[in-house]
Parts: sequence; structure tokens; C-alpha cells
Amino acid sequence: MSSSDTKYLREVESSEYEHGFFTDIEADKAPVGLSEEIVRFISKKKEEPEWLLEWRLKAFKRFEALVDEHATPEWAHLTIKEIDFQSICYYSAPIQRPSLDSLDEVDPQIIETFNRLGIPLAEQQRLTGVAVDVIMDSVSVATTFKAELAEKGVIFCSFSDAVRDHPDLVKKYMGSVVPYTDNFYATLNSAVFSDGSFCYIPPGVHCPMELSTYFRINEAGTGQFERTLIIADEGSYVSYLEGCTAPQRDEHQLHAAVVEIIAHKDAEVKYSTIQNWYPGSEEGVGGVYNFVTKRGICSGSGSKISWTQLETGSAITWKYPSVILKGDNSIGEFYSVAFTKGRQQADTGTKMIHIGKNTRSTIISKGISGGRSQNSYRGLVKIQKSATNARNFSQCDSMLLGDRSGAHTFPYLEIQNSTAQVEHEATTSRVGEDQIFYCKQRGISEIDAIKLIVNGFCKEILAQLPMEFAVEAQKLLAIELESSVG
Amino acid sequence: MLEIKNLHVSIEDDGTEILKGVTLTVNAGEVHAIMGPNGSGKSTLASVLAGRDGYVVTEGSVIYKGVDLLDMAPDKRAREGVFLAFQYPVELPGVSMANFLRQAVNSVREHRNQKVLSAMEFLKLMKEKAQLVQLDPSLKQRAVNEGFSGGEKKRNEIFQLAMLEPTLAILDETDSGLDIDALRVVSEGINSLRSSDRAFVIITHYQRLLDYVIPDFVHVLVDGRIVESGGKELALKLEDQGYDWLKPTESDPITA
Amino acid sequence: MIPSLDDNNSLEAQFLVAQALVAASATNGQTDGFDAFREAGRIRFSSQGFPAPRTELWKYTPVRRWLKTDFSFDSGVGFSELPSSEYRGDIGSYHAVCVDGIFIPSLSSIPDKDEFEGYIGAISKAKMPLDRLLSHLETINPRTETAFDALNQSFFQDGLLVHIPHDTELAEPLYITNLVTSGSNAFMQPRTLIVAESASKGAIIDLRDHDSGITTFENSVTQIHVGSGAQLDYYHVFDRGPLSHLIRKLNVYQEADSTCSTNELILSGALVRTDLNFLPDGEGCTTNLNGFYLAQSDTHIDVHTMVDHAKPDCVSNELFKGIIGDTATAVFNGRVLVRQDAQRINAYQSNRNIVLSDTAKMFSKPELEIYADDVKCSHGATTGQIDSEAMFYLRSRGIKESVARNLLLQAFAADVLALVSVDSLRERLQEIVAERLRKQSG
Repeated sequence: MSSSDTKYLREVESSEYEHGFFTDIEADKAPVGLSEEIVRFISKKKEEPEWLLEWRLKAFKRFEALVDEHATPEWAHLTIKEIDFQSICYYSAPIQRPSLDSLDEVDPQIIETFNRLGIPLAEQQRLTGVAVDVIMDSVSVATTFKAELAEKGVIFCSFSDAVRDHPDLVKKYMGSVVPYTDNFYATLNSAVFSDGSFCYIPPGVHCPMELSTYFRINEAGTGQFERTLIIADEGSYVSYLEGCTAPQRDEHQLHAAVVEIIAHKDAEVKYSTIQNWYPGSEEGVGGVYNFVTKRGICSGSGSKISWTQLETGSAITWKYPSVILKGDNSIGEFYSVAFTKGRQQADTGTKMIHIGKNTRSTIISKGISGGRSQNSYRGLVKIQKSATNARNFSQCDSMLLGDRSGAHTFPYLEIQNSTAQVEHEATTSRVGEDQIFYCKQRGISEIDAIKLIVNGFCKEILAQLPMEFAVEAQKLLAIELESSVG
Repeated sequence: MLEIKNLHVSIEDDGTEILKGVTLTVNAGEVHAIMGPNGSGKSTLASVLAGRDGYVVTEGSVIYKGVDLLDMAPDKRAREGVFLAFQYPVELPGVSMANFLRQAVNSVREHRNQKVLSAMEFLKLMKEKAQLVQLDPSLKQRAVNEGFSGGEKKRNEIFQLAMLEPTLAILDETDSGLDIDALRVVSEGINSLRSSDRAFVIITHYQRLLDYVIPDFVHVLVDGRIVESGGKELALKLEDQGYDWLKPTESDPITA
Repeated sequence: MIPSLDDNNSLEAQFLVAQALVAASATNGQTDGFDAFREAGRIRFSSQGFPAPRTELWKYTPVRRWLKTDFSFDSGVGFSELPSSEYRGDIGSYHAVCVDGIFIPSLSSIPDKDEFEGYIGAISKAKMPLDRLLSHLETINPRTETAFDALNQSFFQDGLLVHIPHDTELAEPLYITNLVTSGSNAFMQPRTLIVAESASKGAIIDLRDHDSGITTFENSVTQIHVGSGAQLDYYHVFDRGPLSHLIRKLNVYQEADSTCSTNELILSGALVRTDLNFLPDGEGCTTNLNGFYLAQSDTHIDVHTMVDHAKPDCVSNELFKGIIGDTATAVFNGRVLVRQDAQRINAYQSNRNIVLSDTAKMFSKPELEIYADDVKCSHGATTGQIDSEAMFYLRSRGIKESVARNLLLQAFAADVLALVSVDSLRERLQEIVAERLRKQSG
């Protein structure tokens, strides 16, 4: 009605991007542009075996054909400036890259970078026992806790190391969930991916610590194309964390990653993401284009894959972490908070493909939009004919923080089995005036009231994150809120 | 402490005048009951004092502790010691009582130059005050008012009153929807919070709360005006005779 | 994906050739006042072409598949008397009959001037000034326009107009019977325009239920204008049997403080695609859109709805329920759009489905697209089967399984049928649906 409306609906003020500094590290870069030569260059740089180069080249051929057909995906609720794939540098590695056995050998400046990001590597290693793999401009720079994990038979290393040391595993599983033909950006990634993380949990092993990867784009004009491959063998368990940041730059940076998860019989994988790529300025200058294909397959019976994400960054987010529920009695989960402000655009959600009997999926998505941002949930629930007694429940709630932002819900429910039970609910509303007044009457300021209410709105999602991540998530959300309703 | 002079209030949306010249003085330590039939403007008075949007003060003034109350933002009023127990307490899904109240208590304490409470001190205080209205201590994990029964919501309001230690407490129909046992618990809570430096304004439709919380003054609000003031015996008379004798009727020479 | 029109083999070609003939014969050398209207339709149709195979709005209905037929565009032999209808009951004085979209006075019974001041009859003979007629006919919400609207427009010859003047009430519900005469593979493009002026009131029942036993294809457009403060109830029944095809567009335009309540009932058909679009373009509008679809045998039903909230302070309520059995496919795509500055909108949408067989398919796509912040919008969609607990409860009371099933399916359909406010129609619908369900579960 009167004053408070205008106050908290005020246009988003420019917020300072906390992680927007640039690390001055010498980089080993490929020439700008994309061609067969570049693909060969990357493969050669990485001393890859012939089979992998062939796979890359097949993907590259496919990508060229897609570009010729102008086959960039256009169904999403996004306005994307045409991307010039020839103006991007597809490979940039920090120059000092010997094989590292301990953090002591990592370039101190990189360590400093991560400390400033609030990822005190050494600290974490000591205190929290989280194993961390750090990917900077697509190259893995440090993997901690290798030795301890090896004792249990857990393999956690950079993708390149896995190609060298565990080629059979990589060969068997890479592309088995996200084939190189899957979609435009997955195809691009398959041709030019530079590194990433690899993780294998042997049968029956409960991974003794959280595994964590931090991604950072550093070099100007570079794209980041990493691949993550996680294989949880029978009866194993792993919780995997992923964090992302990028420095503040005026041009758009492209991030096109692929994540593949395979969960065998009775295995469980929990994958958590905090995505905080640079979102661009308030006017929409710069920012990361985040086109990510994440998919897991519950290939064995009784397996479970759970995706949790907090998406606050990127100029554009295009991302649908999915689960193929192939094994009988398998479970897929998707918990998401997507916060957009300024000119950000997010089109994110999930796909739950039910194939096996008695498969269950749960989708809980919370979207918060402020400023002039557009925030869409897009999710597919598909119950195939074979999926007897499949169950799905989806809940998608949107909260609007400004009268120039948009909140959209696009669920696709495809049911081909008469025993399926599929339920979808969605609501859209804004922070209640009465709720804000109630808080204010107790002496709480308007900003704090909104923070409280939004945190409450997201609570059930944040509760899914591992403890140390949840704290970081809450802090991040608070910073984002402060800058968008301040 | 509170001086309301000739207060005229209209609804912002359609301009309907609800309060048509209310004058009332409340001193520290006093308990004032404001009674009146439905639609007489009781809740509007409470809302305007707490600073709810949607009302326009067209005339008159409200001075609280020597300054203009109407000039202050709602959270400022709260920090200055004005507390409103809501007739319909609002649900805040996902916001835990502990988190909510800790922010509230500490922002009030900060304003009063009191030491900000640590988590431990705060939880101790919460436990202690919850007993006052017999609220289950497990409430600290529950979301504010979410899934609370009607009685729990009202007890929760009094519990928050105890936590925030206001100087002026306005209770808006706190007795409505309470069974007799809950009414007793709430009343005992209120009585234990009476003190020489705290004033209460109790808004109620029925007299029964006043059996337990004995007021110093009773005012009757009819059609936006205080038409009768007196001591506690006035409440009993209202209980006995209803409000009709106070309402201007067609045969009444006052309105003729 | 624009089709090449030089290509005589394109799907669009036969339509454009036929269109040229229709346009020429309609004007017969001189103008009938609608040539510009037709021409505008032709241009839009030929620039758009039929939906390309992967068009999002036609995702589950690859319509080109059904269009690969040699259609006939001519009317056939007319009706000497009115065929019976389960839905209509006794014929009262408010009954308009159209054959292939052309109003037939001899089969209709229209109240005389003393009883009803408005107009029910052929668009071409309406007293409404041509420019007003055209402005109604040309009312298009570009957000929802399809090639089929344009195609219908390009073929325009005549249609039915129902005009309820200011402050006038239709004393009885008006029944419209739409018949199709033509030989096999007829492609007919009827158009109905309903104008309820400000403060008027009425109920209209639009029936497409006559099954002539031959393959039919209707590309129908219905336009409704609800003036300020007017109240209009509109029901559409499609039940033309297993050889019928319907592509249907309903465009409802509402002025301030008006109420429009519709119910869309689809009980048979080889292909039924309906696009129901509502544009409450004034403050204080209420829009109720409800529907029920029963998809049996190999019926393909695709219901698209769109409520485009363009102005503040409006309410919309939407309930669509479906039962899908055998090898049928049903699609529900419900879109609620709240434009920027359309504040204080309350919009509710619900889609509930029961799938009866493993060869049946249900695709549900409820969408919310919100650009204003002070809104309360929600949608829910469920797809499941008959509640097994309820089944068990009924059977434990000695009720046979097939009877119990039928009872529960009827109960499922009951609430959406209960929203039909014309008593006689509602009762008949309940009976017909019960009967169909008996066959389904028997």
C-alpha cells in the first residue's frame, strides 16, 4: 500500500560482486577460436590417448553440423545474445602445472585466490576433512586427501589423471549418461573439455568424507568446459559438493559443463552445488553464461541420486540436473533454490525419467526473483510404460521481490502408465505485507524481515545441504538479498 | 506515557472514517481496557498505534514518551517499547521462533543500549519466559505461528511480550478464541508482566478477560468515539446490559 | 521452417488453392465487405504455415500428420430436418442451427423482436455496422494466434452472430446446433461471434454432437466479446464420434467488471485440439474456465488454455479434469500469464487426470508466467488412478468391482460437471457421462 511497498520493491542497487577479483597467474592458453586443430591441440596438450581424441573429434563434427543448422536450444524462457563460438579461448591452464602431491606444491597465488574466495584449502583439509579438487580455468590444480581416500579404494582425482590412470573406467562410463550427441552444449563440451573431476567409490564403501570441487574461471575471454564423472559402485555412498565463482568482467564468459553420475545397485550419490558465477552488472553487462548438462542414472535397483542446488550467480543459467530412474525401487531427488536479481535470467529445473518399477521422485524448487530478472522453473516428469507404481511429487514455489521481475513455472508431466501417481503443485506470491509488518512490530528492520522470510522460504532446501555448505549458502543468500532489497 | 488527542483515522483505500476523534491518556503502570461492539474501531486504534499501513490519520495527534508516535516507522516504535499482541498472529513459514525472536530481542536491546544476548543467554531467557504462558520449550524449533493452534498463537503473543519487555503493551482481542483454561493461563501471564513502568491497553469485546486482568480504567468505544469511561465496574455493567444503552438510537434525543 | 509456397506439394498448397476459389466466389466480382479480412487471413496463414514438427505449442499434437489428406472444401447435401440430440432436449424458442458454419433459418427457432431485442442469425445479414462487425472479427490476441485462426479467416464466407444488446438478458439458454453435411474428408471452417454488450446477461450452449458417421474436419473459431459488467455463461460440447476431427479456437475478450464462465466438454473424436484463450482486458473481471475430457479408444485430445491477465484486480478460476483410457492420448496445457502492472491478480488452476490403461497417455503442462509481484497464483496437476482405498471400501460393502469403478469415475467427473449452471444441460451431461463411463468400465 504505502511506503513499505516502494521501499522493499525498490530497484536493485548495484551490488559488489564479492568474488570479482582477478588472479594474475601466468596461463598457458590455446589460440582463440574453435576448429579441429584446437580440439587436437587440447588433446595433445593433455597427452591424451587416441580413443579420447577420436571421441572429441566425433563430438566436434557433430557440433559443426549443429552450428550449421543453427540448432542452439531456443525453447527456454531466456533471451540470449548470439554467442560467437570463434571468439572464445577453449583452453587456458595456469602454467605451473606439475603433478602435485600436496598443497605445498601449488602456486601460492592460487592458494591465495582460494583463500580470498573463502575456500581455505589447507584449512579445510585440516579442520573439516573435506577432500577438495580445485579446477581453475578448466584445469585441476589441486586435489587434497588423495592418500587417505586411496586407502578406502576411493578414486578422487582430476579427469586428466583418471584418463591416464584409470582409462578403463573412463572409457566405460564417459558419455554413458550424457552422450556427446545429447544437446548443443554437451556436444561442445565433449569436443573441447579441458579437465574436471573424476570419482569412483568401490562396492560397499561409504566415502569417509565429503568430496568437493571448486570451479573458477580466471583468464579473460576463456570458456570453461569441465566434465565430472562420478561412479558409485554397488552399495556405496558419496556426498559430492561443487562450488563455482568467476571474476568480474565486462564480457560474457561461457561455462558449458557436463556432469555424469552412475549409481549402481543400492548406491547413493548426493550432489550439492552452490553456483555463484559472476552474474553481470545490474545493467546486464558481462556475466557468465552457464549452460550445464547434469544427469545421473540410477542404473541399479534401490539406488538413489539426489541433486541439491543453490543458484545465485550467472547472467544466464540453463541447467536441468536430471535422474534416469532405471533400476527398480530407485529414488531421484531435486532440491533447488534459484535466486535472480538485476538482469539475471535463470531457466532451471530437472528431469525425472521413470523407467523402473516402484521408482520415486521428489522435486522441490524455490525461485526468488528481484530486480528485472526472469526466473523460470522447467521440469519434466516422465513415467514410462514400464514404470509400474511410479510416484512423483513436485512442489514449485516462487517469490517475487519486485514488480519488474518475472517468475514462471513450466512443468511437463508425461504419464504413460495407469498405476502412476504424479502430483505437481506450484504457487507464486510475494513476501506478505502482513508478514513484514509482524516482524517490524517486533522491532526487526525491513531488510532483516525480508531476509528472515526468504530464508524461511528456502529452509527445506538449505537443510538438504551438508552442514559446512549450508552455512556458506545461507551467508551467500543473505548477501544477495541485502544487495537486491537494500 | 501515551497521549492520544482527537484522533481521526480513515481507511486509505476508500476514505471511510473509522475513528472520529478519540482522546485517551495512559500513564505508566496503568491498565486500560477498551471495549466496544464489533466495528466500533477498536482494532483500528491498535493498528494505528502500531503503525500498520492502510490507514490515514486525518486529524489529531499521538504523543508517546513526549514524541510524535505517528512519525515513527513500525519497527522504530517496537524498539521504543510499543508492543502489539495481534488479534490474528501471522505465520512465517520456515522461520524458526528462536531465529525470529533472537533478531527481535537483540534489535530492541541494541536500541536500548543493552548488551546483545549470546545464543546461550538467549535460549535460557526463552526457556524461562516460555514457562510464563506454559508454552512447550520445543517451540524454539517451530516456525513462527505455523501449525500453532489458536490458543498457542495467543499464548505465543504474550510470550513475545515477555521477551521484548515493552513499556506500552497493546493487546488486540487476545482473549478471543480462548477456552477458559487458556484464558486463565494468558491472564496470569499478563498479570505477572504488570509493573509500575509498563502500561497496558487491552482491547476486548467481552468482559471475561477483565475478570482475571483487573483494569484501572474502562473505556467504551462506539462508532469511532469513546462514549463512556469509568472504572472496572463499567465492564460489569456492559456485561449485564450490553452496548445498546450506549448507542445513539433514533429515539435518543442526542442524535435527534 | 516457413513452407515454401512455390512447392505445390506442401501441406499448405491445397488450402491456398481452395482459398483462392472461395475468395473469388464469395465476392462474385464485387465486394461483400469481407475481402480485406479474408486477404489479411491469407497473408498471415501463408507466412506462418502449419505448425512445424517440433513447435513447442504443438509438442504433443504433431498436427501435420492429420493434415496429409485430400480434403474437400465444399458443402454437401443439407438437412431437411433436425437430427436428434442427446444434449439438447426439447427445442424451445432459442435455438440456432448452422450447417457447415452457415446459419439455416428454416431449421432454427429464434425469438421474435418483441421477446428479444438482440440478433441471432447470419453475420452477413446482421444490422450491426460493418466496421463494428469487422472490429470484433479482427480481435486477435497476437500472443495466442495460430495458423488455423488465419486459415479460418481466409476462408470466411459467413457465420453465426449472437448479439445481446446493452442491459438485455437472454430469457432462456440459447442452444446452437452445429451440423456438418459434407461428403467424406470435408474440411469446414465455421465461425461464431458472440457479442454480449455491457450489463447484458445470457447463457449459450454450443453443440457439436451430431455424428454423421463420416470423416469430418472442422477448423472452428468462436469469438466472444463480454462488455463491461456483462455476465455470460458459455458451454461447448464436442461429441461427434470416432471419425471427427476438430481444431478449435475460442477467443474471449472481457471488459471491466464482466464475468465469463465457460465449460468445455469433449467426449469423443479422432483428434480434438482446442485453444481456449481469455483476455480479461479490464479491471474487476472474473473468468471461470472449466472443462472435462473423456478420451477413449484411440482419441487424441489436446486442450490448450490461456488466461492473459492484462489488467489489475481480476480473478480467474480454472478446473480441467480428464479420464483417459484404452489407447487414447490427452494433453492439457494451461497457461496463466500475468502481465507487468496487472497487480492483485488471483489466479487458480487445477488439472486432474485419471489414466485407466497402460496404453493411454497423459501429458500435462500447467504453466504460470508472472510479471507482476502483488499476485496470488497457484496451479496444481495430478495424474493417477482410481483411489484403491475407496475401491476397497465400496467392494467391502458388497459392490461389484465394475460398478464401484464406475461410481468412483462418476464422482471424479461430478465436481466439474456441477459447475454447469444450466440445470437441464447439467442433468443430461451427468447422465451421458455416466453412461459412457459404464461402457468404459463394463
